[in-house]
Amino acid sequence: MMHDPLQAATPALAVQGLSYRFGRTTVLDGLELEIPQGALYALLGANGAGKTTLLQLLIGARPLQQGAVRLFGTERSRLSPAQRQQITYVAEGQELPAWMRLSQLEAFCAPLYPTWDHALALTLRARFELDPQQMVGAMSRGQRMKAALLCALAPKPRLLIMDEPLTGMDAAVKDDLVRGLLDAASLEGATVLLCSHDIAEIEPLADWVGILDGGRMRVSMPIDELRARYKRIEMVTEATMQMPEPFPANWVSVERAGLRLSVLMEQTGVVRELPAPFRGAARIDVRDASLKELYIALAGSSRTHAHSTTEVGA
Amino acid sequence: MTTIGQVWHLAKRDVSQLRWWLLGYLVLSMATTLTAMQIVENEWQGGTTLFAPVLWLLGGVIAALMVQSDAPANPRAFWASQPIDSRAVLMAKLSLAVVSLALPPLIGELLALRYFGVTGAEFRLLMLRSLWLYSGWLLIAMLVAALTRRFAGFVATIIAVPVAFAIVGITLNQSPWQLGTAWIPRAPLQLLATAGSVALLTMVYRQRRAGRPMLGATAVVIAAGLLAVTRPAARAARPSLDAATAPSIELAVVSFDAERLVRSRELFVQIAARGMREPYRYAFLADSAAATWTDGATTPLWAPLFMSDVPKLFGGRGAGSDIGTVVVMLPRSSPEKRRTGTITSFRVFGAVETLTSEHVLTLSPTGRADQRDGDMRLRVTGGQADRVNVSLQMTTVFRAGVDVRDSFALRRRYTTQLVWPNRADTVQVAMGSVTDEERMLVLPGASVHRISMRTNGDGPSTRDSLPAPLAEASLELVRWKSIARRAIVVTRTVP
Repeated sequence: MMHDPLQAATPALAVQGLSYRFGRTTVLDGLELEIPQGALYALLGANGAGKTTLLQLLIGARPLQQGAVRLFGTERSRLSPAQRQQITYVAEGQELPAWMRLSQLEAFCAPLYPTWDHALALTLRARFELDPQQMVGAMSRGQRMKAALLCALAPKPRLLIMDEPLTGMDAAVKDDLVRGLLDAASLEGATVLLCSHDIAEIEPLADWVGILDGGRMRVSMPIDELRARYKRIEMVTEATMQMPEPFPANWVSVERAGLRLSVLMEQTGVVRELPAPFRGAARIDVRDASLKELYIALAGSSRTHAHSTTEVGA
Repeated sequence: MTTIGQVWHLAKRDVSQLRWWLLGYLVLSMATTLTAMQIVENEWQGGTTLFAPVLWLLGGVIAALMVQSDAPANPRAFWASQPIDSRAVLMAKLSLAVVSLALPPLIGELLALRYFGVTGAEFRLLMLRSLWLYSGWLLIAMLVAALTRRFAGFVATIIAVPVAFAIVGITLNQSPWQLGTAWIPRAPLQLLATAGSVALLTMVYRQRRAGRPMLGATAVVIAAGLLAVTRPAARAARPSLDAATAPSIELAVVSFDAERLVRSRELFVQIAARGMREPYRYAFLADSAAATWTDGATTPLWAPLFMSDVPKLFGGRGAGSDIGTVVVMLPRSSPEKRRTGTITSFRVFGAVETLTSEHVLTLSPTGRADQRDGDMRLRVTGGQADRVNVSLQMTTVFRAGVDVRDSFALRRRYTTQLVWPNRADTVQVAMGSVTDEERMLVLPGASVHRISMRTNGDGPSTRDSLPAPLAEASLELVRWKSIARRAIVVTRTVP
């Protein structure tokens, strides 16, 4: 699938000032987000952070209250049918027509997408070991998710939005789904927006990551850039060393267990940027932070205090 | 796929999903039509009145299932994840509801009305009202289904709203179904219910959510619909003359319990009116009856028989029974009360009032009834020289086309004193619209007025005073002219 280079420069998804309320509860609060075309974007956030609401707003399953959503440069409400047919959506808990057989479900979906690839559908059906004659209502949770993913991948979408597709799945199903996702990621120019709690599973897939917290995106950047920006520094301190008060601004999180100190530090892992008392620590290890560590530190910091210390029982 | 293509695609999917429901609905619709037309014998009393509500209920259920298969306010609904225009979903549901749910009973009703010879303005009026009845109900059902997401919620709401309505009615010390009063114009309520349903449905599909304001507005729409279909008093229109064909009624005794007559001097007789080919209410009035015993003796029975019914059309107006039960009691003074034996035949000498076209009145669909629609003068000829008190009972009998709700009074008694010796007395009777407590059914179409006489119970019976009062008295309505009647003899021989 070839795309105009100018069009490729247009973000697949651009969200500006998006706010959404359930009654008096503000779920999204002036959210800004931009996802480039071709990215596999992992959207992370705690339960209740508003990830599902955000995704439902993106696909139009919920009405916009405030803000703007642009998909491939076009406002959501102005998407042409042809543009809408380039976007697919899969969600955990999504209702599938239980009375249909899988073959009927495929037959229902196929005409809705001009780009539906029957051969790909067959391939996915075989990979996911799905029986075309099985009633959707009789499928297990994992099978239903596979069926939904099949229907989302077979159209070869330009944008695939997935909401917790791996939640509650056993390892084998997760593996199948991840391989399906890799298929999607390999589609030329396809953008994947994936929301999941299963950070370890999606870390190898994602090339962009965003953390939704407090109704806003706390982080949204390429995962390599994120890793480069944050480093984990672990050191064994001397008993006489005093903790700096306040913490340096670039310390995102601090964990202390006895003499062992672990700091997630922003922008640099250069030792010389440690406060003076720590530079002489007995042992200093600097390593990349895992996505899970970053998520816990960045998403958790707004809920407690931006710069906090966690005392781990020695 | 274009929006129209999506409409077709979704409609096909819905037909496939609901095929057995729709098939059942079609069959039930046909059965209702055939029984209403009495092509299929309906010996089971009230049989068709069962079909009609079930047809309504089933229509609402299917409409709800149809809507909730693609719930508009559910962001997890499958259609919401697909590139489907919400307008296409709404259009698909509405189109399918019209074609598969509204049209079959309407076509059936059209056939039945044609079969009964109803034509002209009355036909158009009846069809229009039926169209509203079906479309209004289906729209409200679809709206509730759209707002409730789950079928259980739909059922609960459909039950809860009328219950709430009834509670309000009871609180106001009124019959729940008579909350409407004369000052409430009905047509705007219908319009509000229909247009409001369409508007709210459109909003739900457009906004994809069901907020509290939406629920409140829906409650108003449902209340308007309920008010519109209930039977407020005196909201009928001023009658105007219209032509109609007099029905021809053939009576036949279906069964009676002769043993009970012997035991308790009561005789329950089932009489069927057969051959009804027109959707008319009929009234059977008998002034005498007799039982013939095995030994050839005949016992006259005190038999103030009155039977009336309406072969109703469906659509909430169940095709009525053509069988009525009358009770015949031996007079207390009769020596036959101790008689034993077997009755060989039972004869009823009665009169069926048939109503000529000049008495058939059509109520225009709008406007309020005047409380004094007109005066009528009753002149009784050929009486006796006895002084008796006579009560006049004026009954308004409605023809079918029979609407279930709005009533131009079905019955009202006017009592006046007559000094009988005069060979020709004139009584001024004011006739008006009143509430009838007995029936919910009414006609939007034509009505027929009938006058009968009976004594007030203190004096001698009418029959004692007038040798053949009903046969010989001539009743003249100044405005509505005369009522024709013919005598009918029904004979049933007991084996």
